Formats: sequence, C-alpha cells, structure tokens
Amino acid sequence: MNRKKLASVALTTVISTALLSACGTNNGNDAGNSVATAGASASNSNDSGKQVELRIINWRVEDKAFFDQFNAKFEKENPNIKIRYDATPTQSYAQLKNSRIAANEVDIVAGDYKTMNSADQRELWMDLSGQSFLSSYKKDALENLSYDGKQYGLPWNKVSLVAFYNKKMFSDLGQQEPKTWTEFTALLDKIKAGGIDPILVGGKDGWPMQQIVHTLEPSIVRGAKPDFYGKDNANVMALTSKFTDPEWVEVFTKFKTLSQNFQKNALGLAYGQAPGLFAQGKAAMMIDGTFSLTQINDAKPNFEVGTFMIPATDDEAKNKIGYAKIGGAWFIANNSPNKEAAMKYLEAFSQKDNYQLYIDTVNQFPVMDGITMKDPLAQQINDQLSAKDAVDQFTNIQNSGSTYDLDLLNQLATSDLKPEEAAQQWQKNYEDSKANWK
Amino acid sequence: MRLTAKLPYTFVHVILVLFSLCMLLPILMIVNIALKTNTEFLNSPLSIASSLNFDNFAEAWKQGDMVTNFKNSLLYTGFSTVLTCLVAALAAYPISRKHIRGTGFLLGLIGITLFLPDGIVPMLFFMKYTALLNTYTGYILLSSGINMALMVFILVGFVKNIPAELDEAAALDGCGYFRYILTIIMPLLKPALTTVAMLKIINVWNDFINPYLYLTDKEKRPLTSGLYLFVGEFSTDWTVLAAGIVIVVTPLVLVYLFLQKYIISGVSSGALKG
Amino acid sequence: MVKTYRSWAPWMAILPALLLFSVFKIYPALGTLFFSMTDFNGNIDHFSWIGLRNYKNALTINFDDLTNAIGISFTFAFFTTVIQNILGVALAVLVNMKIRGRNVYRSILFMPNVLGVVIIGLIWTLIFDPYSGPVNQILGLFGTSSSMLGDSQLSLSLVILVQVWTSVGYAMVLYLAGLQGISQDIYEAGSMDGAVGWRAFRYLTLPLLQPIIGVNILLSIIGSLRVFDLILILTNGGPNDSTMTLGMFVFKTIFDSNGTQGYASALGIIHFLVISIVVVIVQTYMRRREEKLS
Repeated sequence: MNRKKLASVALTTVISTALLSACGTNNGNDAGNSVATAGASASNSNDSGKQVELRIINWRVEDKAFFDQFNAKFEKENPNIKIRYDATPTQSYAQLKNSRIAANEVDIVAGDYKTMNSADQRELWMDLSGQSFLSSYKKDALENLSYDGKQYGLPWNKVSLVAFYNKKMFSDLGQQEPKTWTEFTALLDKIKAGGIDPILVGGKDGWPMQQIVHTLEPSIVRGAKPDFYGKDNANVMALTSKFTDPEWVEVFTKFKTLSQNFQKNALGLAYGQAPGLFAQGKAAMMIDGTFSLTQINDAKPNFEVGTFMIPATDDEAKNKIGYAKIGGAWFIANNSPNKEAAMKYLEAFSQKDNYQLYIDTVNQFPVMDGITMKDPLAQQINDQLSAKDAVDQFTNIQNSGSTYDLDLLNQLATSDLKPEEAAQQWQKNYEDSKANWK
Repeated sequence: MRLTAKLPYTFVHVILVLFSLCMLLPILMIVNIALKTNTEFLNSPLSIASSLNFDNFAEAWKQGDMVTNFKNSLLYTGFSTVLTCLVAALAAYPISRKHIRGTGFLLGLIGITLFLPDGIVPMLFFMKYTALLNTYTGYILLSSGINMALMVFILVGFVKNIPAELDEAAALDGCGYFRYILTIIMPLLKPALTTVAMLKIINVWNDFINPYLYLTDKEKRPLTSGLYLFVGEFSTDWTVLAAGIVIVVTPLVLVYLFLQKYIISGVSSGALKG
Repeated sequence: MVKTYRSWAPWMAILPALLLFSVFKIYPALGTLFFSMTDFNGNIDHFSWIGLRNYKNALTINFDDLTNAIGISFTFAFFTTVIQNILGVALAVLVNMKIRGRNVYRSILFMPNVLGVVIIGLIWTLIFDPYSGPVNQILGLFGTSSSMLGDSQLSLSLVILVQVWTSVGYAMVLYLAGLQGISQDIYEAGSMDGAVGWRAFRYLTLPLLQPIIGVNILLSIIGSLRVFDLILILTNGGPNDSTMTLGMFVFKTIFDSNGTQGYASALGIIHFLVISIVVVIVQTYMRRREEKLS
C-alpha cells in the first residue's frame, strides 16, 4: 500500500510542482494544490480500519429495489463489511466485468452459464462445492452451473418464456388458451381477422425476437430427439446432428409463421416499450420472459392478464418439454482477497427470508424449494413451468468459440428468406467457425 | 456579406427557423414526456402534456441518487476544466512559439491521438498501482488527460494570433517564463480558454462509461452515470427516464447559454488559423 | 527573439501536459498493442504471447465480418462528412449575414453538441419509435409506416441523420470562424468584377475557406470512423449488422464469447490503422489541392 501511495503522491507532486514552479502568484495554484491534497486524503482514507470492502457487480439494474434493501441489511448484520455494489446496463456489462476481473477489483461477479463455458473462464472462479448454503437450492439448477463436479456458480432464479395474453380480448373473440400448435395458429388467425395485432414483440434489440426460438426449440427438437446436441454439443460438432435436419427446419418454419403475426414494424419497437404497450391493450398477446410481469403490472393494465406456454407441436408428450434457463448466477473471483466475506454474502442471499424477498421483488422463478410467489399470476406460471420437463436453452449447450448466427432469425422474420435456406446458412456459418472452436 | 444582396431576408429566416426547429423540437419533446404520466404517454405519446405533473422528476431525483451525483459532477467538471485550461495553456505557448525542439513531432503525435485506440485494462492497471483508482484525483486527472492533446491543439492555433513582439517586450522586462504565460498570455487567451473550458465541461459532464470503470465506489459517481443506470432500469418507463434526462441536461444547457457568447465568438476569433 | 528564459523553462511548461497525455493516452494505446499479441482473456496471471496470431485470425476467419464492418464505416463516414460539411458551410454563411437574431440561431444550432451521447441516443430512439414516435405518426398521414431503426434498409441512413444532427452545429461554428477571417475588402473588390451572390460564394468564399474545410473534413472523418457509442444506444449494430461499423464491431468482440480480449485488442489496432490510412490519404490529397490553388 505504501508503495502505491508513494507513486500516487509522486505523480500528483510532479504535476503540481510543474504548475507551481518558477512563477509566483496566480489563481491556477489553488487548483493544483487542492488536487494534490484531495489525492492525499483519498489515499489516506483507504488505510483506515480493518473493514472489508466487498465488491459486487451485476447487470440487473432492474433489481435495484431488492439490492438496495438487502445490501443495507447485510451491512447492518456485518458491521465490518462494506458493500460496493455496482450494476450497469447489459450493453456495457461485459466491459465492466472484464476490466474489474483483470484488475482484480471485484469479489462477486454476476454471470451465467457462458461465464464458465471454457476452461480458461472456469479458472477465474472459486469452487463453491461443499458450502452449506448450497443445500437449499434445487439440484438441477445447481447442476446447470457446475462442471466436472465443481460448483462454480450460485443460481439466482429460473427464467422461461410465456405468452402473456389479454383475457378480455380472448373472451370477446370466444377464444381459449391453445393446447396444440394447430389450435395456436387457428387462434392467431382468429385474432388477426378481428383486426387486432396478435403478438407484440419489441424486436429492435434483436434478442427478444430470438428468444422466441428458445421456446419453440425444446419441444420440437429435443421432444423428437432428446440427445440431439450431446454432451457439450458433441453431436453437433461431429456433424451427426445438423441444423438442416427436419426438426430444426420445423423450428425455423414455425418461427416464421409466428413472425407473420407480430405487430407491424415489430423490428423497430424497443424491447422496453413492449410491456407498457401490451398493458394498454395494443395487442392480444406478448411473448416475453416471465420477468416482464413486473413491468406489465407497473403499467396498470385495465384487463386481466393470463399466461400460457406456447405449444410448439401437436404432440402433448413433446409439448411437455419446456424451456427454462438460469436467469443469472453469482460467481466468486478466485483471486478475491475477500473470499470469506463473499461467502457470507452468498450465504445471506441464500437464507430463506432473504431469498423469498428477492423472488417477491424481482418476480422471477425460485430455484429453491418451499418458496412461493406473491403474485398469483407468477405463481400460476411457476406451476405451469413445474409441470414441464424443463431443458436449458440450446445456445447454452453451444461449444465455445463456435458461431450461431442469430441474426438470421431477424432476417427470417422480415425478409422472404425461406426456412430451409436459413437452416443451411446457419449450418454453414457454424461449420465455418471451426477454426475458432476451443 | 454580399450574398445578402441576392438572398431575400425572409427566405434566410425561413431556412434558419426550420433548422432551429429540427434542433429544438426533439429536446422539447423530452420535456413534454417528462411532464406526463406513464399511462398518458402510452396512449397519446405526442400530445402536449395535459397537466404539469412533476412526480417523474421527484422519482428520477430519488432513484438516481442525484444529490451525491450532482455534487460529484460539479467537482469533476470544475477541477478537470481548471486543470485542463491551465496545463493546456502552459503547453500551447512553447509549442506554438517553437521554443522547444521537435514541435513538429509533438503536433503530429497530437494529431494521431485523436484516434488512438483506448486501452481499458492497461489504464486500470496504471490507476490501480498508483492508487488512483476510485479516487477523485484519479478521475480528475484521467478526464483532464484523455483529450489534453485536442485542447493543446486548439490553443496552439490561438497563441499564433498573439503577436510575437509582445514576447520580446516582456523578455526585456525580465519577466519569467511562467509568469509571462500565466499573467500575459492567459488573459489574452480568454476567449479561446472559454471554448476549451466549454468543450471540457460538456465532455466531463457527459462521460458515463469511464466513471464506471475507474470509480468503483457508487458515492463517487457523477450524474450522467446515474442516468445511464436508468436506461436499463426505466427502459419501460419513459416518463421517468425523460425526467432524468431533463435533470441532467438542464445545468449544462444553462452553462452553455451563459457561456455561448464567448464560445462562439471565441471559436470565431481565429481558432483555426494555425 | 531575445532569449532570456532558462532553456529548461519551456520544457517545464509542457511537462504537465505531456505527462497527462502520455499516461492517459499513449500508454493505454501501447498497452492495447501489447495485449493484441497475447491470448489475454481477463486472467492476468495466465496469458501467453502468441505473436501475430490474433491479426491473422482477424484477416482470415473474420475476414468477411471485418470487411463488411469497414465497408459500413466508410459509407457512414462518407455520407456524414459530406452532408455535415455542406450543411455546415451553408448554415455558417446564413448565420454570418447581418440578420436579426443571428446569435440566437447560432446558439440553437450548436445546442445538440452540449448533449451527451446517451441522451442523444435516447431522444432519437424515441423519435424513431414505430409506436409512439412522431416520425411514424407523420408517415401514417401518408398511409405508410416503417420500423425505422429496425429496418435494415433504413437504419444506416437514420444513424447518419442522427450523427449529422449532433455535429452539424460544430462544423458550422468552425466555418463561421473561417468566414469571419475573410476580409470584407475581397468581396468589395470582387463585386467590381461581377462576383456577387452565388458567384462570390463559389469563386471567393469557398477557395478562401479551403484550409478550414480541410480541418473540418478531417475532423468529421475521424469522428465518424471512430463512432460507436451512439450506434450502441441507437441500434447496437443491428438489424442484421446493417449498422455494424468498425468501432461497433470492435466493441462487440469484447462481448462475444468467441474472441479473447487479446483478439479485441488486435481489432482495436486494426481500427486505428484503418483510420490512419484514411487520414493520410485525405491529408495528402488536400495538401496537393491547396498547393494547386495557391
């Protein structure tokens, strides 16, 4: 620490002496001086006390309400730990994460499966196996974030995609929740005939449209061939499973059908705008992550909101395969000097009352047993989800370094690109990326 | 200018009013949205706000930790601006007068830095090992440093306009080098320095990503960083977001309106003759 | 020049600026150059020197993406520069006339420069919003509509529009400075030879503005080739990579699980080289032109 302080003082001194040197009186001196003293006092304050500063970063700026409350509570219970919690919007999170890790300026990092999908990434994280707080989590959720018997991440919640629908519009048209794909397309036609936009999508950000594929794929592909991808995408890498196989062409075809039922100019609507507009009755349905429930409620809909899982096929058994992914997870940096405090934080996060508060505030699905959701609709979706055999999204199985050209989906939705062509293009781009595979 | 002889004044005014509206309307639109309730906005986004509703401002103020951030913003902007003006003026004089060898090289280097790649990780290491990371000093030095070259470049052009005879007169007076720059040159550079100051103020006030990278402590963040958080947090609630925008922009616009007379005349008095 | 100062005095004077400049600009760039030859991926204890492999990969595996990004950058820079400078000169001439309220016009036209990128991005996202935005409401009057930024045919033009909106005032102010440096006598003399109105502009004003035009064009080109933050907020490079400029492409690589940070650094250096080449070409061209004129 002393060496650092010295360097800091040296730099400021060089600059300020350069400013002060030679000539006497001028106003500028004050600036130089106060900068120098500000520097000195700032480095002094770092030395005081044996407080631990726990540095946490996250991209979930939406969850501010919970973390404000939880962090304050945690600091109160652990007076020697001061929390420096930081969240940035997704767009710049990678930058923040990379730089903080490189500079070893972070203890707890928010991440997801991709944060640990290659060997050199896994090296960055501490193995959490054997920690007592893990026991309260659901096993399948934990497995999602473990590799070769080591537990790298602590899951927060589960996210899935549902169709939110306007119950009033449905009953006006005499419609019900569809159980099969055929029923679903018939429903879409009916709504369209009624002069209403069937599906509202905020497509401008790219991923909201792409995630619709995540909800179609499990039933169609893994409903037919449970081992389509193989461990770590082995079958796709060996080209024994291809995206040009009939199952995937079906996914592309059905996605294209759905896209023809999006509202006009769906690709121009910012993602964040969609929940509010849906709540104002601008469309009959909105296909979105379950996490949007909070935003829909905030926009005070004057109708009852219903939800259903999109039936991707006509086969009930296949439709039972649903999609759910871990919404995010905590990782502890291997280089962190504050591992003990970091564990304490995760332990507190895992306590039932805190976790219940978390789920209630963020309205996402719990990955812990015995947690119920406050919002009746959320609880209902959770029940629907629990009745399914949930599988992880196919992009989380993707071998690292390879390319999935998700932009093709936007093209499929907006141009006359044929599903077969999209499938071929996708497969080609994947194979072309081979040199990058790790 | 003679052109006016051919162009009717009304025509000129029409064109200028049209362009001015292009610049102003988007900004006024945001103010209008900030005054609406969310429901009103979702149902009639473009109509004039039916009543003055200041709840969004209160919400934005509270959620954005604006009190602390505001103070920090003032601090960073103030110190970096003063530091930049001083340091840049000191450097501009010798370069402009070619008092040192290699001014050509220096000017070339300055030109290149207009598009040098950033290096966040190396920068972080430097900040960390000099204990400047997460300090007020560190961020002030950083924000003064990143476009120091441009500021020096602007001032070099201005210094050229100051007659060299003045230097000689001062030299005969026996005035020291630094005293000369600080007491004679700097006051003469006032319009140019106002321009540099304004550019710097705009620059520091609007910086949103560097504070995240180099200030790890939330209490040390400036205003725009707080607003940036809103982008994710309130992406579904444009009315609060718009109010946040208005709060962040207002001080800057006021400073601008106050200084604009100097800036525009400052730039106009020959910044680019160099 | 009477030399009375001590020889170290000028060096002392530029030292602070030089120091700040080296530490915060040159050093990080050199650092990037260093990392560009490693497989650095965030783990500082564990990375190795791989020579030029990142560059080789960029020019082979990602060749199509890279050239596509360079192409988009050039299109973006070209149109931004041309439109911005034509409008900039025109507006400068207009606000340089002796008309009432010209200071008000000047201030308003310069105003967008005061706003930060985040704010400009947000404002225009809203203006182009297909549901709530004014543009589509106006288009609706003509019975048409568009997904605006979501339309890959249109997105680049709209981003150019926003960039021009932001920076045209700056160009105007620089041109204004140039105009005010032109002596009135020249116009007086010119008018006797029949150079008035458009002819005066074409044969007197423009040639005399040449140096400023040079500076302005160079600044516009550099600014528009570097841009990424505005695009990040407006379109994030989409739809279908239609606004994926080189700067944006470099930024996105940091995200991508495919590329290491070393690789992103290499792309950053390539970005720098591309701009340097353009700058050198433009500058040589303009210098020749200036020589021809004088």
